[in-house]
Amino acid sequence: MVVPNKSKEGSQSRENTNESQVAGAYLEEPQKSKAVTRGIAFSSPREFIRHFTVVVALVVTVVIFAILRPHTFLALNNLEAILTSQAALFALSLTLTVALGAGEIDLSIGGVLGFSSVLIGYLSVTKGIPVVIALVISFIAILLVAAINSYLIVKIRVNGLIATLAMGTILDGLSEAVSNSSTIGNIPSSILKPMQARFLGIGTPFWYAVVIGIIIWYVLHHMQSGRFLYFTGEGREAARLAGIRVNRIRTVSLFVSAIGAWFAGLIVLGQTGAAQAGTGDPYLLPAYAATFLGAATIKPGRFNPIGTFVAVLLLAVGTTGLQLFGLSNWVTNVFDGAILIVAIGLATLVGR
Amino acid sequence: MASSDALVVDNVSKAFGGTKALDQVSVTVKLGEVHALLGHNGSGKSTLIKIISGYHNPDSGSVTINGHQVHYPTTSLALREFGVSFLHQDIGLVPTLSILENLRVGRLDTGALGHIRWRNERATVSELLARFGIELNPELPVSRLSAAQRSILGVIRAFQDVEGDNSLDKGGLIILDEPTAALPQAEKEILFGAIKLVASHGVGVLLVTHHLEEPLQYADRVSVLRDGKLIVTDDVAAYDYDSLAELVVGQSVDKVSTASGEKVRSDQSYLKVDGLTSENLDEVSFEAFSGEIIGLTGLMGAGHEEVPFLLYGATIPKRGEIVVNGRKFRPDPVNSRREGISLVSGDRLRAGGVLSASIGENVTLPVLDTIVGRLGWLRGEKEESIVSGMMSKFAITGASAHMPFSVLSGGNQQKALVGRWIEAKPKILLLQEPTAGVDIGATVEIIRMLKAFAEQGGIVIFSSEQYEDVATLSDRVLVFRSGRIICELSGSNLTPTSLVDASYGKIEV
Repeated sequence: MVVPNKSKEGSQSRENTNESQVAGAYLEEPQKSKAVTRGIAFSSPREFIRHFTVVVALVVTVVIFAILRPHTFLALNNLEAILTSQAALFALSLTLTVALGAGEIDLSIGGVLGFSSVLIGYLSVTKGIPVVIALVISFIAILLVAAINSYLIVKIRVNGLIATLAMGTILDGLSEAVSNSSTIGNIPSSILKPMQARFLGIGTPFWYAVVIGIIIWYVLHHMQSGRFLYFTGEGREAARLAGIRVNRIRTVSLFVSAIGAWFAGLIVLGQTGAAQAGTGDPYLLPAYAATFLGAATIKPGRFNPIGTFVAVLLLAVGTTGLQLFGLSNWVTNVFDGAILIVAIGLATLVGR
Repeated sequence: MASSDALVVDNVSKAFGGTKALDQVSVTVKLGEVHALLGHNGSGKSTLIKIISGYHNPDSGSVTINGHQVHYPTTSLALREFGVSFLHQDIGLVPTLSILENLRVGRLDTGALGHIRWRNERATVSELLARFGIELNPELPVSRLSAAQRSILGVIRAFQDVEGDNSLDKGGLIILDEPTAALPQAEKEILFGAIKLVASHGVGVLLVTHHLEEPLQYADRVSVLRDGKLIVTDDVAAYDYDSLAELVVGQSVDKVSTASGEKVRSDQSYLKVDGLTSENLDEVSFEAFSGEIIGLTGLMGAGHEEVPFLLYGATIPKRGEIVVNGRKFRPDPVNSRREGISLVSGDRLRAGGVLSASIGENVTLPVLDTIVGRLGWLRGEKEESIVSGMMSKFAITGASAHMPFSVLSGGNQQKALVGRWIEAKPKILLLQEPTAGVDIGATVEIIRMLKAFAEQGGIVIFSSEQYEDVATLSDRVLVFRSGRIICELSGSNLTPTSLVDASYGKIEV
């Protein structure tokens, strides 16, 4: 399976020589020295597939739909629409990746998303408070939610699954109360404008999500704190004994997922122009499907932002494509659910 | 059940590779007696227990339990039917369940519809508890019990297992493996009361222990294993502490002078520990000087294994002062790292490397700050060269840096874990059992690494029960017993045998 393959590619053979010079240990087993720490060179097709399953799946999906529905699916505006409409899911999933990476589970993000959009709508429309102040108040409210979540999980050590599930439900209830169970319309244009503008044909919220993704990628993959975060998630006691401030990292990760959900709520509010209780619930499962699917690719076995990004794309392309076939909205749920099952199946198999 | 013996081990031998772990050992446990099995690490004691419990198959010889000869390979279920029950150190109770549930699970009294007759159950359990002198509500969760109460509950459950429901003194065999390791002195007595009571009902009890005073006080007969051979089986009454210890240790016990070594030290200690006290430690005080390798040893549960954790701040002591480099120091893992103190935990699986992270990520963890570039960016090339440098330095072969840490063998993992902290250049390196579960090659390498580290002025403080390695590695050794330092060995007084003697309390200071 693993065949040394020295001269096929110039850069690869150069890497090999470099390695052999620094690492005497590698000399004994040259056939294993191909895949280096940075994961650029792959020793076999199997290794390649292991790292790029979801990317391959994405390409295959796109090709299939392109063949079956060449005019509608491949149209540029369809791609633009997909990316624009999934901006909130991008933001939500990318920040959720941070919490999951630190070993924390946050099921309150759906509730936070809904609550933040309703609260901003309520304050700025019903109460007529200036938008900036409404944003600040809602942001503080969400920080409070994150503080309670992390106090319960990190300090009191309750089961995070249950604590955040309860918190999400509380927020759903509060959203109903604040919105008086009705839709709040007439959202101020200072919220709509920055969320409905376009850049390179794609809605600006997508670009915000891209920026968030790049920041998270930088921190998780290329900074010490990211390494510490993954160690905390994958071996908490080992990380603690290595002098890593695991509790601080866990707390911060829960704040990141909450703030991400707050921002996703703002995106939804700006894009739809209306606030309604329960907006966030349909986002919860796709966000988990995307992060878990993402963990089965790029850096297999590890929640990683690039994987998450590709996985959200796959979810979006898949559901949009199926909808082009005239399959109605139920398809979304079935597809998302199926993807989550495939994702955890893959993650388990890859982990072996 | 005609036999009057609970257990007959007849001429059992067992070899692992070339070494004979058991050499024609015969032991008999009579019904109604408490029989102690003594021997230090490597004596063959645990191999014998593992054969009786069906974990190992004997190479030759036979084992008979309650008159039934065991046919190997066997299963724990088959052994249970012969009327044998094992009580291990961890007892194996479910803490969240009640006393009743823990005792009665699998034998609950059910009615015609499969419902549980709780009233009958409560009555049965109350009666059972009363017989053992415990007055507790059967509904109480086990987590609320004291350590001694839990041990007794374990004994009662084992008793039930071998007796069946209608306790008609049917005989049976209970094997207790270090039952008192987690118990304070006062509570041991209560436990042994329960054990004696079980024996008085005609059950044979085999007590495996490190503590010589226990058989002297509570056992009827004693068997001593040493180097895989049965040294003696005899009535306890014929022995006192000294003569028993001599049998276990295997030589007449010399009074070894414990004057500290002649090595001239720097005038001031770098680390000073004063009155360190915790659950299992009692007023431990010592000093450490630059360049020193200090071994901490004793019998299992003597408290030495806790010292590295306490010094590092991974667990919090009840009392005690730690002074590092002339300043008072309150350890916690983050502070300790900053102060140049590192820890290699003995629990390699849970608290050593992160198994799913790559080998590279694991070994660079302590030195990550040296590769941080501008804007916090970790310089990948620098990291790669550090990783490959470390891997060749620690002689880790057969795996490459990007592979998960879990692919490494135990020995390679341990080399990587010890080595990575040495690379971080701490002042004090704390280790628990650095050579346990590690192959000979890796052991030699780890000892070499630690000695080199100390030669550079580092301090190594490690706890271990591998007496050979402790003697090889240490400049001086503090021997613990019941949470106290009972003596210090160094220089020519420091040999594996002297460590064993001292651990059994055989050296008079």
